[in-house]
Amino acid sequence: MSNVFIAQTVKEACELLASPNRIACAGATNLYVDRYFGKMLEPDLVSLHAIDELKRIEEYEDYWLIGSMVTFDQLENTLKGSGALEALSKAASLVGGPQIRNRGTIGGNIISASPSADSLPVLMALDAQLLLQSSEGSRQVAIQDFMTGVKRTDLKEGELLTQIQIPKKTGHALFQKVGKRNALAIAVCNLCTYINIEENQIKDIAIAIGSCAPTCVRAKEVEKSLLAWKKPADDNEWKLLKEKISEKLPLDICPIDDVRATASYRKKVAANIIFQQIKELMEV
Amino acid sequence: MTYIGKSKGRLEGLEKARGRARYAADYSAKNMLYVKLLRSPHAHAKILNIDLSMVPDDVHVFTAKDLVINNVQDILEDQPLLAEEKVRFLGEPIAILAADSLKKAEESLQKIQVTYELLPVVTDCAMAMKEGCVRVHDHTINDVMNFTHEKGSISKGFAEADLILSDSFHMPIQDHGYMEPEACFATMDENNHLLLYVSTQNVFHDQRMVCDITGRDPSTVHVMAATIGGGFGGKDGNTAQLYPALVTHKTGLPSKLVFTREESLQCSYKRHSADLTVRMGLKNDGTIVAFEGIGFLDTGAYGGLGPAVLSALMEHFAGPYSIEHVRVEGHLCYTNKPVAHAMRGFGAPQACFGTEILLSRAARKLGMDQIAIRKKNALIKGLTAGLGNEMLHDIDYIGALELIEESDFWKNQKDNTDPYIAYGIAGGHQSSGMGKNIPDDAAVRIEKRGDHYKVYCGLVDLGQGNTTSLHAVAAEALHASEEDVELIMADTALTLDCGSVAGSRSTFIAGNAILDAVSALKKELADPTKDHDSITVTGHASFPQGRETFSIAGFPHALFSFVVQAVKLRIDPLTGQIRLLDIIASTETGKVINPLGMEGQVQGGIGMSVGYSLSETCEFDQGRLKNDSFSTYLMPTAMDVPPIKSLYVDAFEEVGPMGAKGCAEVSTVPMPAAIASAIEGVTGCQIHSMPFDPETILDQLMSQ
Repeated sequence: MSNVFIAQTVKEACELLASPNRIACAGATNLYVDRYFGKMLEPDLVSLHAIDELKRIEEYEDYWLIGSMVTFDQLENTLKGSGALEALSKAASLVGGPQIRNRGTIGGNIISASPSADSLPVLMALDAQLLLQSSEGSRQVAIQDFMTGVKRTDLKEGELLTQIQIPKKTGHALFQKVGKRNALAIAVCNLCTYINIEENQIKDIAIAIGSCAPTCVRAKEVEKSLLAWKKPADDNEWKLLKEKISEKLPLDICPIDDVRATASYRKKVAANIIFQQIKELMEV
Repeated sequence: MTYIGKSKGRLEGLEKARGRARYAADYSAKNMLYVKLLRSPHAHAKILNIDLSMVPDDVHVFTAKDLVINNVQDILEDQPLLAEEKVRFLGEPIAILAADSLKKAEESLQKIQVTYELLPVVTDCAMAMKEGCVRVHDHTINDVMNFTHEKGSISKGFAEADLILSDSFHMPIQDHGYMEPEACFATMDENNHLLLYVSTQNVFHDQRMVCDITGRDPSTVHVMAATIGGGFGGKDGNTAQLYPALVTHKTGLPSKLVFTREESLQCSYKRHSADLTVRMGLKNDGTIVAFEGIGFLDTGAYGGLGPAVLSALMEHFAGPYSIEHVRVEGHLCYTNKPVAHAMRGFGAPQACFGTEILLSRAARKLGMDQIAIRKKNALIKGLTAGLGNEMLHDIDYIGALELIEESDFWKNQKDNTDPYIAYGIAGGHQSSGMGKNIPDDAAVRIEKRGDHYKVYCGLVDLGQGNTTSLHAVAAEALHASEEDVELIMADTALTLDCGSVAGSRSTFIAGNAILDAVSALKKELADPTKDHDSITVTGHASFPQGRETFSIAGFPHALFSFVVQAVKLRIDPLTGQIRLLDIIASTETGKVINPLGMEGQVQGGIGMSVGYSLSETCEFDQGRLKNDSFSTYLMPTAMDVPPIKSLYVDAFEEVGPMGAKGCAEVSTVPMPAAIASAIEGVTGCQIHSMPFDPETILDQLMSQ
């Protein structure tokens, strides 16, 4: 039988988490499923639900700060029309169903570290930084470096994810999720592309893909090959761009066959969506 | 008409919405025992030994030895309630445990040691049919039942054809996916009678089965249907009721069993998967001159209602069409999978799929309109269907086709310019009633006390609203106000046997029994010597039967309902995924008693078949269900089912109550073929299996 502690402040949460055998509990949407399958039954829970300072979305000149207890519903509604962060609003709108979006949080989505987590492709493509706090102090880590495997992160014992910092960028981003149905579906592939175009040329590009590797990954090889790519002038040039994506993508992802889809399907779909997103972003 | 033909919400709707309705799982009592089943972890094995010695003393355990008759009443009588010598599917019950807490019952499962000798697993029909394949039942080959019939001469028919199309199709195993899993609460009443509240489709069948296993006299077994959260055929037989019945019979203590969702998905009844080969010959003017359909149904480890599903496949295979030369062949195969049984549609959706796809392909090849080709071949009264069985009653399939033809939905397709959008259409029919030579009767009692009427009907309301419809029939016939008519349903102590809520029969059969009771009542009222304030009468009804007889009982049927459904969909060229945009349905089911209830049936049936088409499939690996939760067995959400417009033909069935026929199942029949046909329209590919696979569609699009 585990105990539940209710923290009122970040400081209090960190102090509670300093004792062994305790985990932070955000929206509990994954926790219920884990406990149903006999996992997470032992640790005591430090509930974060009363900590208002973690529920804020704040806009600064160069970046956004998103508290780890911000729900998907909040993300969806607050970030509409916020430049590249519109993609995060879109991703949040496609998580689970309304009940999950009302309870589930961005912090929980990151810490659970599912390869198919819907917020991760956007956070990865936009170079989000995570603020981790503990009773000992705090540290900042790039989300790129935080994901270490299926449901594994670099979170240390006693640490709490408190804020996600997302730099403001001049370009645009798009998010797409492919699931086996239109709601309450775990992604077969989810994908975010960010592009900044200057003088008809790709100046900055970031592509992050979920459900196609043990963690959400950046498509570094595709990004490298498309940097400085000029906006195609005709169908033939678009075709070349598409071929480049298909050529490089296998170096970036390593999907598997599972009950939801085959690896080959994930590869084809990821390539198609990257191409489509780049096309849409270049034609803005 | 005061009530008939008027839309009316559910009589019990408010109770359900308020959370006051009591489902079987909601019942409990002091000293109640929690029941769990020890289920086989193997799909096919001999049981060498069952060791109960480690089970704690305060936990009750029962095995096959504790049953008076170890048999589940069904068509083939091939299934034991508890496996004794052999297990034939993964999840088959071997022992019943009952303890004073759920935890103790679950933990005690681990204390039973069963020694098995593994046998090869028969995985599908193709393997089951192979010469020398290991037998699921020692006394018979796996091709447990087969049927062939030829009307006319197909060799002559195909020789006359200008166009011959043929193809093979596979349809998956679908689960009913009811919200409420199988459940039963059992207790002893004050008279020491066994009292059960069950999630069931037939309380009288439950009573008979309980008497078999316990040896009790029927007068001491009282079965009531609790509020039911969906049945769709899956609760028409042995579900969760017999195990707590035995526990309470043996211990005298109340007990309860509620299946987990995993148990329900892995172990409970399923829709038969089908492997079909269909061949069709047509003249250039669209006349179908020859049809051949060969089907293999996977009935799992036991026959269940499989023989009747096989006969329904045979009866519906050639579609709602008049074809001169027809040959059908069907096989029912044992495999080591959970029992396939009744599921809404009962063989008719399987029969429709390949036939309607081929007909749509034929229309495209012949340059004919999809509706015109169906009208040209449509069955009408007096013509014979695929088995040479004569259509004895009025039917208006053509009327259903014309409703779609005249709709804006159908006319607007000429304005579409998106190459990834297409329209598909399919027609179908569905029998109602149990079929030839199967008892198909009902008896209803009406008690008149002053101006108040109590109508006692033995049928269960599964959630589909037959109570509301029957209430309208009774109030109409009695010329009574709605408030003065009360329905008492599904109680073996109070109501009379009306058979099962199955075969789209319940409104028809009980409606006619109510009308018969009302005429008896009117006779009493016409007699001045009788006390008019207190009258009790009983009415009877029997389902009309088809004229012909075949080697298997259960067909042909006399009554059919007809349906045409069309879909507008878009294929995503990036993912191959199918997005349904709009659906229209047209139904001919005689006079519609409650249009709102009818629309509910149409929407529900289509939703079910949208799932069947797009995502629902029980995937087995050596008999183990791989997707045993609702996060992997995917049913459509509200986001996946598009708006559905429901039209119905203004019709009247002479022998039906107030002109009605059965409408519960027909709505599930044609949608998969309509969707397949639209996909073929977009991609040019040929669909062969369900659910439709986005990767196959994407590959087809990318190769163009």
